[in-house]
Amino acid sequence: MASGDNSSNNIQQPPLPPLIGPNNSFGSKNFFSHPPPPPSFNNSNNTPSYMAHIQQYAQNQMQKQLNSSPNNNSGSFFHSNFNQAPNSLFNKPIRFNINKQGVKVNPMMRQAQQNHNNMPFMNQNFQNTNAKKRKNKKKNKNKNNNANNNNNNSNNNDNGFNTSFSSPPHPPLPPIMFTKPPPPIPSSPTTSTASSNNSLSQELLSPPPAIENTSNITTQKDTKNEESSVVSSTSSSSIEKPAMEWPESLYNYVARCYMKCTTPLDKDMCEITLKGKITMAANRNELFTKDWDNEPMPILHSDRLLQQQQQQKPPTNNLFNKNKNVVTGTLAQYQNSSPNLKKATTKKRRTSSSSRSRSRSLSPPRKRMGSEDDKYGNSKTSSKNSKKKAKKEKQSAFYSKFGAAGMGGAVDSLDTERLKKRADRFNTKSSVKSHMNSNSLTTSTFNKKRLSMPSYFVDDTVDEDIDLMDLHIVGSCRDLEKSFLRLTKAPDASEVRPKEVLIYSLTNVKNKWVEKQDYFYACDQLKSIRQDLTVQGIRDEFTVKVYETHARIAIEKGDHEEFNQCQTQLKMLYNEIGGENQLEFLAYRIIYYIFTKNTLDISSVLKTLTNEERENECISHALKLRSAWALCNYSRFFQLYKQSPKMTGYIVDWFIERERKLALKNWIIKVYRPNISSDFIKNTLAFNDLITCLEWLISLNVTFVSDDKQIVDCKTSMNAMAAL
Amino acid sequence: MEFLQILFSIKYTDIRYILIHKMNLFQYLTTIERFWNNGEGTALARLINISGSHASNKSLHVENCESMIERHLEPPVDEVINTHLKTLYYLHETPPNYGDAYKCQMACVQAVVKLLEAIKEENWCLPIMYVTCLDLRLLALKCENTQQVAKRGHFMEKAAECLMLCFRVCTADNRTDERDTKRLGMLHLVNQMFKVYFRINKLHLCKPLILAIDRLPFKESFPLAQQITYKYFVGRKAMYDSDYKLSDEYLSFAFNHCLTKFWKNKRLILIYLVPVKMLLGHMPRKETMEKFKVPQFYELANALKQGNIRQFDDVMQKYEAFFIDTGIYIIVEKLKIIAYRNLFKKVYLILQTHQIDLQHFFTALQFVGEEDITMDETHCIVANLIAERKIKGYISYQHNKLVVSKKENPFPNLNIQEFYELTLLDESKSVQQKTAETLLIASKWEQENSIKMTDTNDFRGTNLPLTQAFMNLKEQQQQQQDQTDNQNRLKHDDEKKVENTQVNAERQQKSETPINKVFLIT
Repeated sequence: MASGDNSSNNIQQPPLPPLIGPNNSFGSKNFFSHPPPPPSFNNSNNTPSYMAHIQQYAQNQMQKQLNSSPNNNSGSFFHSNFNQAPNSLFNKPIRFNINKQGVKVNPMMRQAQQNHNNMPFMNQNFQNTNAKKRKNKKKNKNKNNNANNNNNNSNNNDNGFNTSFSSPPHPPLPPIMFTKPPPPIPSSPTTSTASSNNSLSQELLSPPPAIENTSNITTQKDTKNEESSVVSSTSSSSIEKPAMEWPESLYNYVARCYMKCTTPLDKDMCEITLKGKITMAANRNELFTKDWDNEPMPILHSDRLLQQQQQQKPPTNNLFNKNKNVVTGTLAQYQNSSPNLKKATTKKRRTSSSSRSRSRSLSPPRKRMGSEDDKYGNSKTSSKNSKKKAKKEKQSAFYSKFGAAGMGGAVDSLDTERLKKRADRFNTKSSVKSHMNSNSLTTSTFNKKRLSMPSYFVDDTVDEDIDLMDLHIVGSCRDLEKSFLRLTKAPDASEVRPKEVLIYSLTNVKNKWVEKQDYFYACDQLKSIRQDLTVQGIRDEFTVKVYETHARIAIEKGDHEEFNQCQTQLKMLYNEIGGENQLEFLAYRIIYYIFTKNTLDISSVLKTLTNEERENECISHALKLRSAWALCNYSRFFQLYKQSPKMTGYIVDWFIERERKLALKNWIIKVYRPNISSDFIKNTLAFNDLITCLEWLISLNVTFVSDDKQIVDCKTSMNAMAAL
Repeated sequence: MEFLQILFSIKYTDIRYILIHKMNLFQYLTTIERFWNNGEGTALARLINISGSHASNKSLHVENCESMIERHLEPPVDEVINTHLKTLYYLHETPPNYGDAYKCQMACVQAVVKLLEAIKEENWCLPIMYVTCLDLRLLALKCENTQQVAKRGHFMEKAAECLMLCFRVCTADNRTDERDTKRLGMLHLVNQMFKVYFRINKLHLCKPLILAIDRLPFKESFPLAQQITYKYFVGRKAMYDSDYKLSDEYLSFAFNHCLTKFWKNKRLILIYLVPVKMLLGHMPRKETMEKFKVPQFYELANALKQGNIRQFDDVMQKYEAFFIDTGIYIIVEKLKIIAYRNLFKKVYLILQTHQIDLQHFFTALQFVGEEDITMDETHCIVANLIAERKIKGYISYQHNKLVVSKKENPFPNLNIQEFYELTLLDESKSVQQKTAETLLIASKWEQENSIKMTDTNDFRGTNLPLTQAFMNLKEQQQQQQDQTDNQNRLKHDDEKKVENTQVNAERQQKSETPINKVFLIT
């Protein structure tokens, strides 16, 4: 790094066909772990606060949104992004969604935006990626900006390249975006040129100077740059200042392309196509005007496999198909591209760029504020949000930990690996399928089986992991309320609410529940919240809270099916993360088992109870209740019922009728002679008042001695009891 | 010479088998090939066993030996061997890779399913199925114990699904002659599945299996070992379903037929049999309990006989872990009702009246440890006993009295009660049938009388202190009452006079009641 910082010119490293050797990955680590030394505008230092601000901003926005009109944003306008890369279908929406926080876009605009939106997205993308992959992204951005500044003077691309060529290989600077993923090792620029026709393409393909320059910038630029960089960032996007480097969008595009490559074959194909595309663009001076975000990805070998897979996935399928015709064109398409089209794109470009600069202007100042001084100035807001922030970070950590694909930022190596595995899986799927159909094993010949057998096993494990992980999308839906609908397909991010929204949703449901006691509504809402949580793989305190809430409401309303679902989930959640109400719900579970007469499960619960747990108010009550129930000690049972702590009484209510009948039959009518007072029945069977008790007795055809119904004739009532 | 003799006494196939632990892969495969061609299922099964003598043979631990296998064996057995060797390979990794071994074993069982389907109208290959299914279950168990908590039950369920595949193949083979039908393998599979279901607490899944076995015309001709296992599980299930008669029948069968050398199994059966027997009124004999190292039940029985709730609770507390682990806690808990019955019977014998004030029961309950009991609960307990016909009589709420039958023994022997319910109350039985059964049971009791007498001796000693203490308490109470009620006093004086005879009478009663009798299974 240090060497790279010294001179502005020498750094040339092809960012795009990133030269990655073992050194590189090492270098990348270094690069990020050691921020460039002060006094320069310290990017890495800035980033956290900057990011924090973005998050804050996003959250503020979100709150505003929620406050103002929760339902406004439901429209999903990200779809256009899907077309970028087939393999990023899962990743992209996620990323965008995240970024999207706080950016309101009217769904109606979607049509109009078709072309425009790419830029804003790009922009957002940037923010997001920053948010998620702070270090990497941040650098990248700055670098790019800086690069633009530096190169403002030199309009000639060739210069940059020449220098790069001439300079001895430096410790390779990892292309920022791809730091992690060992990108395909592209043939060195020279070799690649051999394959391509013209020298221009060669140069273009060779590392674009931008990234190398960044290193210069970081060192060279001092505090002044802070401002200038911001300026440049806004200005760079506009066309008036033609920077000779590649535009960010192109970087991203190339990066995306390489991300896509999973096999050497892919790499070669990708390289060739890119060369063609970029050369073409450069020849036509479209390098900056071209809408790289919308640029179709080259079709690679592995794409075809993916394509097959896509066809099995209805939601994504459409998007893919939409682009299909475009995509198929690849190289030829460029040669054919008409000037009209070009113009159109440039036009669009302009508008979009302006919007971009606007959005830029929003965030970069914040970023500056995020630098240490301002941070304190803003402490009010930041402290407010700090908690949320922390949560968010946790969440993202969760995702990165579990490798949820592309939670913002570029696809990292893990993801590519996974994608590759995934592709492989689909390769073998057909053969595996036959194995899965347990009985069909016989059909395949032994050889075939034998070959696929090992892979079957490997795949199986991978399968489990990946499928689960892939489901962990991050939602983008802003709706406060959403009806539950059983998923019949892979969830669409635009229909899934992220956790921040769900928190509000939960409060909303709670409030409405308190107000109106509309169980149907509450159940529906809570189920959809649960679904969103499941789909996004969120399992934390909040999830516990949601399930507890639903369980409580279900208990109150006697919906034992929902309660059972909740308590099953809670059992697992408590095991994973614990919870303060654990014992309370354990007690509910015990009583629920009494309700279902599941003595086996009761025994297994008893097995696990510790002595301290037995002393808990709810648990000890539940255990006493169970014991009384098991021994048919109705008297004690109903006494305990009267003193039920917390919500246990509600669950007992579910089967109190059953027990009352048993008690009446086996205890009272069978045993007392000649008669018994209704008052006694009322008291022992824990009725609230005599009238309900009498009604109940009459409904059971119990005979009374006299018309005032004060005394039950036990002997004649025996017949009625037999019917119970 | 002796060595040679031994050697010659071993069958030819066994010699080949014995050498297997030194074999290389080639020899192993050729041996299998020979067994396969000869249709020697049992010998083959020994070579597909994960705990067989070949299992530790390092030369067989090859990850990929498809080509070798392919050269020697033909489908469908090749797949079985292939997966089996893979299982061995994973098992002998360090540390053992149970997860993958389990998956391979699962594939192995699936291969066996194919094999079973391929070999129609023959059942010599059943031993292979037995051994692979057993191994699968054991591996699943291993995985359950070694893998993380979240996946518990997962392995077992998958294993059960696999076993179900085998089971279906076996049940479907219903046209073949009884000697060659694969249905002969059903019971073994059912037993394996029972083991899985009992472990994952899914007893409701057992029912269709039981029905399937019950429908078999030749269910008596299964190997005894399998029958014992089967009856053991069905007996346990019946116990959980509160069908104690059936449970008693099945568990008794299992216990009586289980060979003495399988001490552990016998003990296991006994653990479930004893509570059931106790619920039916048969108390366990001390020697038997000591022999099988289950003193818990003897202590429990002592408490029951005395009607000493406190002691009963103490024993329950003391052995709680044991009762819960074995899954009989809920059943044993029910024995408390019998303790109540015995206690109330004592009260009745002491008071010698047919109208017993419930206050007496209340006092008695408090005395034996139910300190926090209420009058209503006393009512409830008495009522339950009446409802279960353990007491003959009714309660007059107005007078707060239990009125018991004068004509017959108000506390029928639990055994008689059983007979009473089974025979006399059963309206579907004809009069002749009832008479016959009554005669039968009467003669049975006459025979058992002699044995009874020997056992009753221990109980007298233990009963005495409690009875004595209880009567002392009664006296005090009575004295208190005397002060208030003169009329009663006379009556109580009478009672005091007959006190001694009462105790004797009680003893006599005891010695005659089968409840004190040990159940004689051994």
